[in-house]
Amino acid sequence: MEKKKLRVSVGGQTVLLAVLLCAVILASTGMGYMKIPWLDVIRIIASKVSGHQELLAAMNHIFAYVVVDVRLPRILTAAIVGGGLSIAGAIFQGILLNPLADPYTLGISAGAAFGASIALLLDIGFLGIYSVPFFAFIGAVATLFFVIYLASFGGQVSSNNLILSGIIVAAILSAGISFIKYMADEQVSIIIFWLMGSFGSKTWTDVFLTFLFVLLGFLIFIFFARDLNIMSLGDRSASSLGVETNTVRVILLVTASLITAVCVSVSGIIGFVGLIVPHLMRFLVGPDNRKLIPVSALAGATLLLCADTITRAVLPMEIPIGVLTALIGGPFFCYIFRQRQIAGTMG
Amino acid sequence: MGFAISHINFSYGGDGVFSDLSLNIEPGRFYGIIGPNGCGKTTLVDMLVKNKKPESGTVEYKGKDLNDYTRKDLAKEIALVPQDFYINFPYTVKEIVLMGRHPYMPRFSAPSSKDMKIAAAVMAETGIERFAHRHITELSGGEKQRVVFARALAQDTPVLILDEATSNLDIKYTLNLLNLAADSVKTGRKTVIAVMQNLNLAALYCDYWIFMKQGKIAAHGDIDEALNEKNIEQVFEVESKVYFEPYSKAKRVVFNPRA
Repeated sequence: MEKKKLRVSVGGQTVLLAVLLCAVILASTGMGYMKIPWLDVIRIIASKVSGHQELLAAMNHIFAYVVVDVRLPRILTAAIVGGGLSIAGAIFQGILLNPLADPYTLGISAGAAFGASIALLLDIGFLGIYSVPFFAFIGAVATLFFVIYLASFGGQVSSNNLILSGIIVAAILSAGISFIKYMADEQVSIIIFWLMGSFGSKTWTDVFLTFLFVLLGFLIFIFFARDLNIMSLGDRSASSLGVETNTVRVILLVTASLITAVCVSVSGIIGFVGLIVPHLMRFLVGPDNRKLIPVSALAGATLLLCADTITRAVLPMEIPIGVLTALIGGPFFCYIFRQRQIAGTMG
Repeated sequence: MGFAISHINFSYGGDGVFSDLSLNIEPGRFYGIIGPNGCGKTTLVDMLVKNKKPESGTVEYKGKDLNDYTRKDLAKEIALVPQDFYINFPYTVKEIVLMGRHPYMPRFSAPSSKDMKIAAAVMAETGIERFAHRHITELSGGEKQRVVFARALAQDTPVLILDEATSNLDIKYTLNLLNLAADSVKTGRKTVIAVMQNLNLAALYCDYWIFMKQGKIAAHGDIDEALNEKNIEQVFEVESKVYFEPYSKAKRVVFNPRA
């Protein structure tokens, strides 16, 4: 009886979060230097989707351009990146059995940024628009395996060692990025601006690129969600329950790194989203990854879009989004860390 | 047909654990694996559940090499209660017990009514239904161990392996859980293989003893022949006296602490 009630309410929460995300997308599209009524926003989107030009007849013709070519690509990219970082965070936390793991604290974001900076510095373009994401991915995966190698001893990977190793490696990579900035004469402003994180001047290509990878990752995560639940019992128990732990772990870690790399490559380093969102959602729906991953995707999308809209349309001047999330997320990280110390449950 | 271990070798980085170890485990008995710390008991358990693979030699179950089983098929045959257990995420006790049904549940499907019924039954047997809806992270070490035991029972397998599975439990629940295991052996439903430290507890339950020392089987046989002063001296290097104790109707071991 109780179980049944719970399942309905989890379904309800997912629907509620989806509705909230749509509302935030519509509201934020109307906000900005030029205010556009939300009914007009709906008309513009409807006309673009259905091809009925007459829907645009009664409004300022520049509205359609602002909505479709300026705001929506930025808004959708922000939402997709927020969702992507959140599910990647949920996966890192689930695999590493550590609620403090996220792409940022594990150094994965720094690794992706380092790879991307090299691509930007050397102006590498042999893969076209995929060059920067590709280098970011190589950087992310290389960092992931190095951090795990650094943290493991005798086949055991301790949670605290992982965070320490992640922070050490991130510090080294940050120094490396500073060096790259020093080396780069003309590209330096591109690299600096990009590293601080921004959704400014995103295009539909960015939207489709991130959506493709985040969706692919999401499907892979959902496919292995129950295996991941079982793996929280520890390796010996999980394999005795029929889970191919090593295979699942490699697939999920590489997928989560890929999502991180794609997100970092379109938006720069955006920290702590992947930490905070799954953490809050665990309070709401519990630790079961089959529920946690969908609600984290929706909540992460909503949260990062709100943050981006605040810097874009509410604050008098635009603060880089990465700076904003670190300013809010950093103290939150301290809070969780402190709570866990008090509770004495740090692995 | 149970397990047939033949001529296995295994080492951790050159330091040999097993060399040419062979052992048959017939179904329908309560086995005790007894030996000093670091003699390879847990490694032997890992071989039986395919967690570690021997460098040479074979481990067969029901006449088929373990390597020819998928993990999922093996999970329907052998359940393991591990020695140490920690979990960082606040699953409820019921969710953990239902994880024992994982090998039977198709991907993407919810637990069937049979799964729910089995989970409810094992929670009642192990006395944990009282905290079925509490979070595992809030329980004491002993309570967690009972939950893990229930999860292994929910797996409903012919073989149950206990790796010091009662080390954190008070005497009431130690007897409770080992009685459950022993009953399922007596009714012919299970084979139990238990790694144990407490010789007197093992004497109450294990009807076949496997003494291990330094990666070798030092002695094995029915409790009547295998549990004696000579084997204990040989394996643990302590002096003892073994006698029949009428109150528990079992053999009992007492030690001479200064010998």
